[in-house]
Amino acid sequence: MRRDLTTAGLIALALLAAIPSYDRVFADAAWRAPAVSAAAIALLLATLLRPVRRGGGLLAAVVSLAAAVSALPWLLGLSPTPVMPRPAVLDPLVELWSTGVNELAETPAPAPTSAGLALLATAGWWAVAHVAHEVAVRLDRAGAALVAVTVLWAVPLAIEVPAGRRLIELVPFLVAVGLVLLASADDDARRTGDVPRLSAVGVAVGAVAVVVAVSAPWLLPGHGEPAWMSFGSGTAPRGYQPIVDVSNRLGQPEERDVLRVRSPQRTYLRLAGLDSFDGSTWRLGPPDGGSYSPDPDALYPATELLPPEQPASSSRSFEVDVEVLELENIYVPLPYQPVEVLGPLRDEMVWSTDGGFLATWDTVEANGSPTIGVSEGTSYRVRTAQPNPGFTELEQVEFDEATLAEHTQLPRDYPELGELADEIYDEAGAASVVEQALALQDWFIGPEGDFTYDLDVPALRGDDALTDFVLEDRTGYCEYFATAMAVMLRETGIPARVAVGFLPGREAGAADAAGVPGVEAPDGVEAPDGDDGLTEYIVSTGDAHAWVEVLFPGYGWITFEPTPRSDDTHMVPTSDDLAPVENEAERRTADAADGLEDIDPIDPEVPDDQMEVPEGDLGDGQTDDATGSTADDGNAAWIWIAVALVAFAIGWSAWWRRSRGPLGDDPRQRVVAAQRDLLQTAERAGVGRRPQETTLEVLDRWQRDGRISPRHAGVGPSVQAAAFDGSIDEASAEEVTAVLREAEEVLRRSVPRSRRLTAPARQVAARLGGSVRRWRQAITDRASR
Amino acid sequence: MTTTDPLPRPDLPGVGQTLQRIEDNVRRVMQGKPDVVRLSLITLLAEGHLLVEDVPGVGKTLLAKALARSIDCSVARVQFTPDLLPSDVTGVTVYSPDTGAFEFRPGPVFANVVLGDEINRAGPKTQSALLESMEERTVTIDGATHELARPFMVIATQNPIELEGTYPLPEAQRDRFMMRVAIGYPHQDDELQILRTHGEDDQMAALGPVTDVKEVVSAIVAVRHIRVAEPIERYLIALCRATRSHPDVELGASPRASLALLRGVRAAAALEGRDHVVPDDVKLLAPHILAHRLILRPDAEIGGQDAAAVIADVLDGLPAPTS
Repeated sequence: MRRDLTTAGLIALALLAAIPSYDRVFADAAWRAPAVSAAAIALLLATLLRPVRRGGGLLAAVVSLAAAVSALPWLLGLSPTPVMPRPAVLDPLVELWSTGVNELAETPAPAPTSAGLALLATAGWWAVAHVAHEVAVRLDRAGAALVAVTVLWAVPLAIEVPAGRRLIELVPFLVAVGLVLLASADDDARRTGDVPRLSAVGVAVGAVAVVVAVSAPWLLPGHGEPAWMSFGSGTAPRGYQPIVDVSNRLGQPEERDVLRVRSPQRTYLRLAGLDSFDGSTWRLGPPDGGSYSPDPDALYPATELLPPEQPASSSRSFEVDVEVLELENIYVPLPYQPVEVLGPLRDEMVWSTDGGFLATWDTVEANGSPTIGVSEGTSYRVRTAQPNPGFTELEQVEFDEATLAEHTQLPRDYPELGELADEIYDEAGAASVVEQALALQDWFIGPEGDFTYDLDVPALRGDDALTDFVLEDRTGYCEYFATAMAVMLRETGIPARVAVGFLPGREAGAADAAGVPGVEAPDGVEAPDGDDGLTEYIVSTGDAHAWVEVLFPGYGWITFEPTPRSDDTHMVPTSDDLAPVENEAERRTADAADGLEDIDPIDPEVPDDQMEVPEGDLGDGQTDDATGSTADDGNAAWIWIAVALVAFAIGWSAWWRRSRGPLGDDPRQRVVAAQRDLLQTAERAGVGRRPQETTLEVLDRWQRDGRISPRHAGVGPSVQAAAFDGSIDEASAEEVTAVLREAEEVLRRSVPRSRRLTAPARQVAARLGGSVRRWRQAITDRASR
Repeated sequence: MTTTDPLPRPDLPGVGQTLQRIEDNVRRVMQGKPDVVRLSLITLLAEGHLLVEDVPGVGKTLLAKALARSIDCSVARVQFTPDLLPSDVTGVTVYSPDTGAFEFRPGPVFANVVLGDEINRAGPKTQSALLESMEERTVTIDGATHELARPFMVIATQNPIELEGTYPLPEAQRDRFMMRVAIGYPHQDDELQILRTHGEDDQMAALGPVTDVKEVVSAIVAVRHIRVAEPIERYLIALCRATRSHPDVELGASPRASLALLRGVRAAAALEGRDHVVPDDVKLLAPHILAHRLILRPDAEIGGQDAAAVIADVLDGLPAPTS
């Protein structure tokens, strides 16, 4: 028992020693608490279930898995308490998992601790802790257990860091691993009574490996070549795909304010325009790549005037001040399309005319700490020329082949969606591109489409997901609507893309000339021209958004809005006003107030915090009164299940102890127990005693089969003496017990692993075969009589 | 030892040595048949009687004589014939003209080891006289009861061929023999050895006693103290019960058979120098102690099934205890 606890403790130590290694992966330390807690809980659970012997490994695995599912949302801060594992909990977890996998592929390290990545890390640490404990303690294979821990430690080694940190990562881990091995080696020696001996071949191979590694490193593969992956040393921004953030931000149970904006008008704050569609997501750059690097020719330093992504002959100019409250990103949220950026950070920004985004250098400092351009406290001012063409102008736009070819690519045909789009155009009588885009937008947003805005939907994955969304489910959020509309536009030959960013946010009051209280004008930034009419908007995570842009050559990318947001904070362009400044809520209020001028304008702001929280989301236990009771019921059920599991484990353990008999000081009983263990091991290995065989007979058989040595078989008489009231003194009982334990191990090893693993199946088959033979025998006997 | 002994531990090493001496001595003349020698010793220690079923000339008489000679005890031989009378076995009261009183002249049954040769040739009445005395260990003649000697062991032989004009022992009577063994022809090498040793001079004459009656009796007493753990008892009883429910068996092993088996396994354990019985003892002795007591169904018998195979079958289907 003490040995088990020591091993568990040392494994915990080894896991702790792997922490510095993971600091390469994450830009901040937020991942540590959940991951380390997960490992601690997993180790604790495994240690508690350790006394359960027969089938204990399976029980521990099941309990640990259930506990992990239940505790992960809690550890990750998605839920205030551990939750009952049920579909409503599992679905978001699965979704978060796939988001995490996506981010893993697309986010360069060191990455901010996003919910998805934290889930991956926490689940990984949990699993490794459990597996390591079970292998080291239950199977008594400390060496094999360390493989799992070492893999955990080694995964981040693919990321290059300055040399100084390697010792911090390496030395504590090696020390911990050495301790684990030492503790287990001591035990092996005690068990067999022999001093562990080094095999000569092992020493020779090890020595040669060390000599070669030290003296001739150039012989090793890959020596002197550049690392496979190199992060943070380039000059171009390597962006992760911004769209993955949208659902993350929207999915957060508690909204956080991310931006404070002072602007003369409501405006979408855009991060990037995504030009390529890979069948499920819209992304920057070519559709096949993971991490993305923009074309250097399309990059311009932000210290100068920014060339337009697309020339816009008619535009509306205004300036916007942005203060970042809580947002870490390399893409700079700004109104499209910017003409000039001001602010201390503009030296570190770069403007890409490919995708139309302003990004900060994503760099890693010499000490390894990452610099994430947009972060808390960042302020900047953007001068924008918002494309604002007239409807009639757009009607006459002509599209050249090159533009069409570039912006109407799709990974495959969507014939149903194309037909549907054509039907919609016909019904609306839309002939020109702008009419068609508006018709499609109105179909999505209006009553005809009958779409429902809901965050609680499965991820847009799979070949038919998009078609299903448009034709059947008709339930989703901005990413779905934008993707669907952009695909339908492209399918009908209209150059379109998806843009991501933020909605204008909620109005926080008028900003006076002296600045908004609490908002200092950023250094080097003068107050915007025309202080009058400036309004302060607060943008929160709930305002994360995706929309559609259609390219009209000569007039730029024009925004369309297919998402019927339930809080009406979206702004819908119409044929009268293609660049609206009021959102849907305001428009309706205005419509309602038409002709009732003496009524005070109702505050158009629909509070964002009333945004629908998806039902059954992880946080439902705390956020929503209506669903709170079901969550409580769920947790109550969870408590009952936990109690039942614990009771079951205790009962199992008690049964196990009783079936083993008391293991007191009686040497005779120790011998009998050792015999039982031996027979059970044999049974599990598939070479068990046949029921009619006596101990002597089965030992003899094993010896004849070459499984055990004559010395092992020779203890048979003494074992029987202990078992059947014979005389056996304490010393020889000790010896016999030791020999039996040894025989157990020798016997187990005598059976090839594959045979051992298939033993249960073969036993069942043999029993079935035996039954069939007996039945046939009985039938033939009866027939012959 | 931490457990308390319910019975005093007998001097098993001493007993074991005594038995070993007897066994070695008998095997000097009874070459190539260690199993038979051992089984006969077990029968002796268990105070049972031995039925040797075999063809003439394989050493049945030799076995009995050697056993008796080794113990330095009296041996009597009765050649059973159809005209043998019960009194020829048990003894007779005759009038002594010298004393003027009736005097009891003990028959051969009063010896320690009685060799009943070709017991199936005597009439049932004479057979019964012997069998009754075997069971009772006393002989009552003319109202007087005479104790038989101790140890007392009958080694009866029966010739399985030449059945004409014989009275084969009824199955019920065979129950009184603790064990039935077949000696069988010796192995080629053993037969050569027999030819050489027995051809030269009388080996039996050279065979001296290695122990005495007193020691044998104390060994018999010691055997009763051999421990039989409860799982063994249960195993033994399950075995006997299983013979009763076996489909090929008309009449299975009786409780007397269980008792005989119990005494037998104790003796077998003692012979090995053990103070406890193990399941292997039961498996070893079951065919010899149980087989001759079973009466098979006629159809099974016609089908070629024999009792030994039934016992083997029963043992094969019976889980042996390991603790």
